[in-house]
Amino acid sequence: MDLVERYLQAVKMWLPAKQKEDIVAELREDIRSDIEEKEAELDRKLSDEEVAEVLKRRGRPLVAAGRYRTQGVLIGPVFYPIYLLVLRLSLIPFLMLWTVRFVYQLFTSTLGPGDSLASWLGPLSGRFWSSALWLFAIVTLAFAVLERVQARTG
Amino acid sequence: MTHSPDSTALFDHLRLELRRGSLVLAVLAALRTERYGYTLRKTLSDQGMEIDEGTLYPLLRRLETQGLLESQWREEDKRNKRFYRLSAAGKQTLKLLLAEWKAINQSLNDIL
Repeated sequence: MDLVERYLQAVKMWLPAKQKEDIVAELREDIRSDIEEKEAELDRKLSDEEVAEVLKRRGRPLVAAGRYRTQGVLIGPVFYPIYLLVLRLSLIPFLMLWTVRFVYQLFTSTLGPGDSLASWLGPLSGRFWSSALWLFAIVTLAFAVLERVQARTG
Repeated sequence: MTHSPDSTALFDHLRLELRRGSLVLAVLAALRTERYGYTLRKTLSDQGMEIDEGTLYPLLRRLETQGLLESQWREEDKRNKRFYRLSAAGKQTLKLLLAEWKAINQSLNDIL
């Protein structure tokens, strides 16, 4: 497979699925025209290095394909401040709940006074971090869905 | 002001913003005649309106999705090419945009 085809296949990988074939066909035509014009100017075939130069000028495949994407953001500028607000606000009851749980753990633990604080709270702190991550993920996901819906309905 | 890398980047960014709207106008106007991508690019650059293919093709697709352009794959010189031209809605929009552009130009000239 020649350089141009390899470049096109690489671009194709990152294109929106529905338009893949169409965009690649058009891009192929454009690159060929470009190369043919240069060859007509020089009155000879382009070398592989020169073809590579033509392709390089068009940017990396990921970048070249990225220009065809329209929906690019998870959470857009309209929802972003609300998203941050919700994250901050949900942090308050979340931290209160976990403070209660930590305190409860301290009082009900069967460990003796000789044990370190870490061994008292250790089992709980792992669950604390994973539920913090869940909170973050759920809020983010909810806003990402909202963004999609809003983008579709305008 | 010194010409630091930062101010160059800022200038490039502002220039891009400034050019973006004009490019749409140029593309729409050039497609009053049917053309395919490559000849469109050449036509524009011959008139001093350089546009690289990475900008042009996504723009064409966007304008087509918006109903301002129509396109058709057709064979020319034994090769399949995608021909674009202004749609009826596109003609209407171009007319309005040109009037807008002239008004902006007029005001800018007055301010300057």
